[in-house]
Amino acid sequence: MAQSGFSMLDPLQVWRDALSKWEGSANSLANKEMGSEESVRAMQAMMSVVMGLQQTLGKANGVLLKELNLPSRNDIVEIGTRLQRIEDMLEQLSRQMGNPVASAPGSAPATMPPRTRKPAPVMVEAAAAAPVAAPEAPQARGPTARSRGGTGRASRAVGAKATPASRRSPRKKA
Amino acid sequence: MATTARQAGIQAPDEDWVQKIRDEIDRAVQRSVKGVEFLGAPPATVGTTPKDVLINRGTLSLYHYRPMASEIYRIPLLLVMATTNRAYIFDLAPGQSLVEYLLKAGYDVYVMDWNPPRADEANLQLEDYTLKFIPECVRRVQEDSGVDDINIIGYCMGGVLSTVYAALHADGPMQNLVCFTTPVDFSKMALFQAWSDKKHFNIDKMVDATGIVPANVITGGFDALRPTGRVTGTLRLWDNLWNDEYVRQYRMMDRWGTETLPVAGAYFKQTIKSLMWDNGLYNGTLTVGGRKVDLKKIKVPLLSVVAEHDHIVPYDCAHPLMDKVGSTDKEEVMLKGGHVSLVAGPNAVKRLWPRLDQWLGERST
Repeated sequence: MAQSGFSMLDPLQVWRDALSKWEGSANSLANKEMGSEESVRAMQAMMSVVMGLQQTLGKANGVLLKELNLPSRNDIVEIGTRLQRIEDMLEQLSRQMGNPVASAPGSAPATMPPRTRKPAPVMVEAAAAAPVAAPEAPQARGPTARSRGGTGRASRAVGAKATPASRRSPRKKA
Repeated sequence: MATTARQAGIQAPDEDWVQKIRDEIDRAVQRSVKGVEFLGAPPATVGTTPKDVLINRGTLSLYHYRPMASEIYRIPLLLVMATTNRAYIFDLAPGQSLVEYLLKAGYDVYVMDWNPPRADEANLQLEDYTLKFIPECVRRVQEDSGVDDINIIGYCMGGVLSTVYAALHADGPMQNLVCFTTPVDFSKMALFQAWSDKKHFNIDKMVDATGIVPANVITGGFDALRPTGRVTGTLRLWDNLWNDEYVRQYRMMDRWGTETLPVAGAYFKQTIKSLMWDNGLYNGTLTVGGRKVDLKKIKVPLLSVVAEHDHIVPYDCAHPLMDKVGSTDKEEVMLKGGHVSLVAGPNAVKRLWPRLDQWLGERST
């Protein structure tokens, strides 16, 4: 009782509620306005003008930089592209030598773990019953169609017994 | 007497008021102190899970994350990021990383990330992404893992690329497909449709002028969907400046949002013309590399995850994927959250990730 009384008089809480309401209504109003043909026409016209200005400025700057004997953005980009090509070649060479290009800090694993993992039904059931997962179930619209699954539990049981880890499908092209 | 009342769960109104006022004063002080710290803080550290870079060429990067489980699933997992953003949204921070979660759950994780396209990549098209980049990464994963099969997760436009790849490689190595908030019926993106209306939007002129579409055009489009977002976000940040965890989250998400990528002009043009104007993926008229993209050819098990409050890809836009694919084992899950909070942040940890693990685990053996 005391808390609800306080909440009613809590100016920051009132402000937070008002902010949320304003956000919702302002976004909805703005979206409605911005979807109108007049707004779209105005937006595109403005974008056209801005891009035209950018192009004109770019050309003018290019002339100025040339006069000052300085590299333009295009020159720098071109050098960057050449550097990138050199990096690409280094990457290819590195791959041919069997090394990854770069590694994050930390010790690289000596060997990969075995690919034998299977989903543990007990753990999945526990997860399904966990308080955080439980509220999600009603929100999900559920399967549109499931030929293999049925309910989640039945599907998991099938999955747990499925393909042996050692099985390999014939090589397929990517 | 007061102690007895508190023990009984009843607080006297005066005591409650005093405590609340104390808390607010404390928060106000904290806001001032931490506000100064916030302004001087370096960019948030993200993407720290140990990984090896397998490909880093132009706009394309492929990472392999180092396993964290003693036993892993047989089929490796490839995540395909949307072309407009960096893939560290999958790996924000320890404890808030989808990649780390999957590694600990026993998956062998590879991620396709994007760099800003170079000047000589302005002519990249859907063909390059779906017939060159994804197949190249798939081959690299096959070589690296020694396993022919692969599972793919695509996020947003990464989901579109994965779906097109799946349709064009129906007999390929992909065993399962997961799509996060993947648009299929582009006619249902009402605002984007209005803004790209061919009556007013001269896409050829724009791309000819820019070559590579600048990041601020992409960011502007997303921001315009929620025009108040930046203002309310900043006000909420001020309100929560005392809360270190909130600020940490804000800084990571803010960094990700501001690091939106520019997009190759030809690819952008194709997206507008073939997907927005012609709605080709939905209508079945999309042609990539001279081949029609028929979603009915996708027969692998499919999980489509949509967000209840997604303002970028609404439910009606993503849902048709379920009807269009030829898979018989398919499931659609709608979870609370928005376009980004579906995959990252505290709610994703509780909602999407366990659901994904539950679906994918049994199909990864």
